[in-house]
Amino acid sequence: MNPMPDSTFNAAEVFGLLSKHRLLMILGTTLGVALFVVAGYALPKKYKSHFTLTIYAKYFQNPLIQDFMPELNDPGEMKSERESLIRQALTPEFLDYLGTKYGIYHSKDGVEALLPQILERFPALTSLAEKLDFLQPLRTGIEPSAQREDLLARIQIFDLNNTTFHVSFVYTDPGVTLQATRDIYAQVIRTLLETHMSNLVNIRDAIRKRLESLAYNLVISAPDPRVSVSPQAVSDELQDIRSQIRALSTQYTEDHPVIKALRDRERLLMRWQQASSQNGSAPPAAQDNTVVGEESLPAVRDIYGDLMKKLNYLNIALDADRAHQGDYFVTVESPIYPESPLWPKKGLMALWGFALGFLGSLSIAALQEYFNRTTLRVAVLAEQLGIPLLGVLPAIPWNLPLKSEGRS
Amino acid sequence: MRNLMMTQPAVYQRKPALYDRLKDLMHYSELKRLAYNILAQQQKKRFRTLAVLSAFPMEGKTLFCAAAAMAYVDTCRSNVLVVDTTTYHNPKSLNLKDCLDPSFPQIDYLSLAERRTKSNGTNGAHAMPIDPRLARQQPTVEIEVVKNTAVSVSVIKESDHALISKVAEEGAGQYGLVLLDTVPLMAGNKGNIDPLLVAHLSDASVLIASPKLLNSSDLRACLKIIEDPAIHLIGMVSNEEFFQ
Repeated sequence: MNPMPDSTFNAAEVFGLLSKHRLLMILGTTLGVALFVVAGYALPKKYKSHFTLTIYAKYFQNPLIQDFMPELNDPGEMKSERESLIRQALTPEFLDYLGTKYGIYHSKDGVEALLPQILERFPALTSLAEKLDFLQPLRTGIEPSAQREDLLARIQIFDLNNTTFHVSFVYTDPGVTLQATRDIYAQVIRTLLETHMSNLVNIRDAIRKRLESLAYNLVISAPDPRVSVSPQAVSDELQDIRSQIRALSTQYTEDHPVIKALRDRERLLMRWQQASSQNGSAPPAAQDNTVVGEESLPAVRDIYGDLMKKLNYLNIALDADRAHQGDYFVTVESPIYPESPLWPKKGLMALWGFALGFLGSLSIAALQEYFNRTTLRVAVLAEQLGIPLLGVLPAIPWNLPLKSEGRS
Repeated sequence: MRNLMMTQPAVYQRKPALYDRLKDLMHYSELKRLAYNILAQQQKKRFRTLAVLSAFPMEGKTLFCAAAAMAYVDTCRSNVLVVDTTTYHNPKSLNLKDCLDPSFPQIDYLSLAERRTKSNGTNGAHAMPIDPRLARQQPTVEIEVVKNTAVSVSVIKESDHALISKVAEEGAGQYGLVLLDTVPLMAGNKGNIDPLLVAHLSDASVLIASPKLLNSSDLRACLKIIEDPAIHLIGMVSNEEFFQ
């Protein structure tokens, strides 16, 4: 015979359990709700302000400069490009500026904020904790990188679709939250415009440099009028150049830029002189098959012309960029003042308290029931022995007055 | 005897309070139900003598005897004899005599120890029967007798057998129910009258169970004892509340 009782518990008995332990359930649930509502008032609040920004595809696509900047057509690529542009705005310098301006770097929240307050109220506790090595002596400040990371963690960026992004900032003070969000918004816009502009300017500068180089080549390949009119003038200049080279060679090496320039001029004058003495007519640069650098003269001319055209386009694009800066993006939602805290929400806290209190008390009731069932009872033992349970001896209230006395 | 009474005044002061408390229990439905169940079992199994057993001391045997006797009288309007079969009383346990109200004329008390002493420990057939009502009227003498017998325990089983049989026979004629309060089944003092012998000689027996038994490591051993069909176990009585 197994004297141990059966401890199985089925789902249908839950309602019976609720009814049996209703007092515990009500108390537990009420306590849970009360605790969480109090926590909702006591916990440090967090406010959130945000803005929503849409960056159009034309930011990445400009027909005037498509030869230099390949257009992005893949939506995924454009999305990641947009996100990286927004993240680019959050430079360490900007974060430091934001942290210093609003005192975010020195602020703490949650348990970190409570601990210094407690220690400040009880100096004896601080010294005791320091003696016991539980607390390090007061730190001068958190590392800047850690502070930046902390600040960066407060800024959340997520995409609503391929072109639209939601940027938010979370902080304990609603006013600071709004101001910081506005600053972030301005920084993002500035970065978008500056990046676009700097791309154009960089290309323009590169073209301009190339044009200058080509112009120089064209100039040096052009025929000197003195060659045909007065060859003696060329010879004189050549001699003058050579004498200058000699004079400078005493002080400088051949690598000196002045010497190099003089050598180039010497070579050019020598070529003119040589050509003049051989043909006596056309100068070398005047011929179409003349080689300027690595390219032929007509090709250089073509490139020069093409680049000049593109430079004009770029200038137009730059002017258009300056005039219509807002065409590339639109602000769907501007930063607004956060009226209610993001956390803790009292309604949600009460709901949590209700759920946790109810589940907690239900668990306690279930445990109690389980232990009750696993405890051997006389009735169970009698049943297993196959004999009846004749009755239960009542508890004697030794300390209470007699009922018969009360009646008399 | 006078000195004994003077040195232990608390016992005499507490006496009425104890049975008054038990009398108070008569208002409880549990006791009425218990009496009805005993009566139902009695009609079913035709018994008069009922041995009250328990595995361990202080499980409520004496309390049950007193309470059941009062409830039975109250329910059936029939006489009840309560027999104390213990020869050595645990000082912490209740004394059966203290639990019985002398004003209840339908409940009689008999101490087997006293009966055995008066029969000089020999064959019970030659012993002088004592009127139980008389025994109840001499409380001081009984206390002394109980104490003396507790010191000198020299009883042979055969004389106990005869004594119990005699009491059972006598009681069966006059009383509706004879309740035999016994020592615990796992009692350490072997000088007491064997509760199993009392149970064997009774028409039926009832087991008082409390958390002490249920939580005992010797539960299986106890259950093995009470599974003996010769003890005619008719039921169990729970005394869980008493220990809470």
